Amino acid sequence: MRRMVALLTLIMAPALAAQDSVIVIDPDAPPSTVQRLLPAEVLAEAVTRYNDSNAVRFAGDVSLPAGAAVRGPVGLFRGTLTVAGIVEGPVTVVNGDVVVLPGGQLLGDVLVVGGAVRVHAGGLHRGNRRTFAEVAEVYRDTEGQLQIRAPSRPLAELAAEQSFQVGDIKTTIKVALGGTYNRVEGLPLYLAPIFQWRPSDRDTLSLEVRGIIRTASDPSDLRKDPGYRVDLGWRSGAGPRWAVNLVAWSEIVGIEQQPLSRSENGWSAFVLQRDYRDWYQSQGVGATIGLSLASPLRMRLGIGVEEERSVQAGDPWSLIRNSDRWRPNPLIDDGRYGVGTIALNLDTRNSTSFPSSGWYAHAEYEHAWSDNVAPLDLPLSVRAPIPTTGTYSFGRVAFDIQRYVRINPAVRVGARLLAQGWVTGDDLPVQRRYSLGGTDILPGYPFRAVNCDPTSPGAASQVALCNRLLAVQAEVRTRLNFGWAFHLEDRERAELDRIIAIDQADLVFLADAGTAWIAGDGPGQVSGNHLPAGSQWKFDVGAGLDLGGVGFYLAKALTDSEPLRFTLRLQRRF
Amino acid sequence: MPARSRFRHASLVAVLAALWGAPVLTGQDRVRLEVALSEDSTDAGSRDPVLRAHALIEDGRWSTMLRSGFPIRMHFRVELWQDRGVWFDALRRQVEWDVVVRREPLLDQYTVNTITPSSVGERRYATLEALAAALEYAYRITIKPREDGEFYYAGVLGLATLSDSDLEELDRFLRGDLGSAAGGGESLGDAVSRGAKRLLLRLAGLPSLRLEARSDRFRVRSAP
Repeated sequence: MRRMVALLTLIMAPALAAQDSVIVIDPDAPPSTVQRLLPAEVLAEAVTRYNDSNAVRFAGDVSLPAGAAVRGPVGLFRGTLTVAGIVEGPVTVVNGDVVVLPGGQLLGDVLVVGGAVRVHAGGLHRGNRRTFAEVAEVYRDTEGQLQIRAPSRPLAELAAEQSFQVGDIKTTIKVALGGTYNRVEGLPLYLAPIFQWRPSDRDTLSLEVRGIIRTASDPSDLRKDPGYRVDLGWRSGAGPRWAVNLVAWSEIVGIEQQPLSRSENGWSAFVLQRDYRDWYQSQGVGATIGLSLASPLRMRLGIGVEEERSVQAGDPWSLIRNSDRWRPNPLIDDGRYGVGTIALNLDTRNSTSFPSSGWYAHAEYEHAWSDNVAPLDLPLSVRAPIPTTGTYSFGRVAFDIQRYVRINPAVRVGARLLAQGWVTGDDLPVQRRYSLGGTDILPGYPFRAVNCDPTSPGAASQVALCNRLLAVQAEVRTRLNFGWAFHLEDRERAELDRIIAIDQADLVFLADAGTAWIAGDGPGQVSGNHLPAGSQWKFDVGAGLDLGGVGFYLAKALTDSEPLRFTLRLQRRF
Repeated sequence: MPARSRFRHASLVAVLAALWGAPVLTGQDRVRLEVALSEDSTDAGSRDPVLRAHALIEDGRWSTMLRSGFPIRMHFRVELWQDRGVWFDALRRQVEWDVVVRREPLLDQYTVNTITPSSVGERRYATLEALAAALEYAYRITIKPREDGEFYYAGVLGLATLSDSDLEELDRFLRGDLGSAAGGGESLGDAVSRGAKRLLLRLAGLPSLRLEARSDRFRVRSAP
């Protein structure tokens, strides 16, 4: 039989070659009738049919010889069902094919996902036939049943979860890493039941009750343990998508969002005992409205009331320098704050991880007020006394604009403008202030080289005290064709790919400029309507090798006599 | 540096080169990607790109992989660029598609799945020779530019292979699930070391290749 099939194919092959030696691809043509993507409901149906206790289940290649017969539902996973005999009943094949050879009979409905059905001349299939070429993302558990793989998550969001359905409500118990390793909490772990109710295909009502357990003990009793976050949300997924969330929380929150990304900062703290962020306790209630105005444009409105309190650094374990002391966590201006925010996000990048074209723009305005702030006593050159009579309020804005352009097939250019700072009302509290210098924005300078601390030597916490920041970054990338590329093409293994993949190496040339300052009318401050003089700007240049996920950079400060600095990044700079 | 240490370093470099570099370099000697232009069939002079991979099967590594049950994934990308003289070139459009080749031992056939933005096609071939001929089919992409200017096409072909079992083994290893590797009474350190070496060798033995090519330039003129 194999010889016959081979012979038939052999006869057909030259004919195909003669007809199709040029294959025309029209990217603008409407999709063909062949189904490419596997609908979730079809995947669920295939898994249910395979797992049916009445089904005869197989894994791997199976041949039913001539004269043999099988009755009842048949399920096959990852293999080819070759039928030369008779199969009576529905057949479900997941990630495999069905081949009906001459004389073979398939009498029943056939559902094939991740494969195809071929009925040879002389073979018979009677019944409905549905085939989907897209591979089903499933695995077989220890009891031989198929389970649908959960979508992969970024490394920072590794989690274990178990879901079950009671009536109309789906319940998920989730255990996850709660963000990033840091010197206040150690490793925060989330334990959360999530309840979801879907009144329609478009709408979802969800309730998440998240407990936060921290591995680092608190030496001061300032921290409120355990943390929590309760989130009641209504999300609509049709037309202009929107979501409304009512939230109550008690969490440890980061002050500045730079340097380094959240996950890089976690790795740095865990391995090197270098926590580049500062933290405070936030406990409050609030509401947010998210609106997707158009495909790349989103808006978020938020309002809430929160208690913001200082917390002390603990002594969590680190792989290297474990016996050293962590950098102290600075005190903040404690108090109860009302906070309103509006944010706009535009993202037309072709990739969020490795963009080479498009725009990313984020703009945010925050207005906050407090009737019981207990301010820190800061030097007058940093901040005039802020009112404690219930009238304290301030406003600040943040812009982050990134542009990516390819100027020819091998060369890409990226540029970024980052502007943040006070714009209205009283001066900013410590937990809303800025600094500059370090691995992210100015890699040619040490951590917080510009932090606006007038004392000498500055506080051991290296507290950030500037109330405005402006930075420009640019880089040019060109590909080095060393032939080193290695990638796991399977999207299911995206996490693994991120760890072990080596991309074509990019040679990166970078240049950065930035300044952070105190805007105001006090001594040594810059008028609110002006930018700092050119002498107050910091410039650096550098070069690096980006292996697609891991980058090595050398940067040199141009405006100060700093040594050449080496930086290891676990993602693109921006 | 002592001679013994130098020898050790040289050996290490040689092993690493053998593991990582050698398969790629030999592959680049033979397999190649060609980006040509279709015949000038319009008054304006606009042309489509025609991409063709040469000598994939003649390179023994890929046919060996196929016969060993590893699927080969060919990922094509073609980009339309406009030459803007002294200013930066501009990317006007790009199209991607995949060709997945695998051998079916039961039927002793080779299957070629072509997955384009608008369709999925499947062809089967009984012999390696027929497959080799099929893999040298040209792909003509109908994206010819309509506006005036000077243009060219850039093509990229990524070739890779990795089996499901390799992926699962790697996945288990990185998860820290040593499973059977730690059995048999050997120490955990030995199991980790052996697993790491096997992993490295396995990965190093699987070829991966990326080819790039460009077409000639062509000019599109305004219709009279």
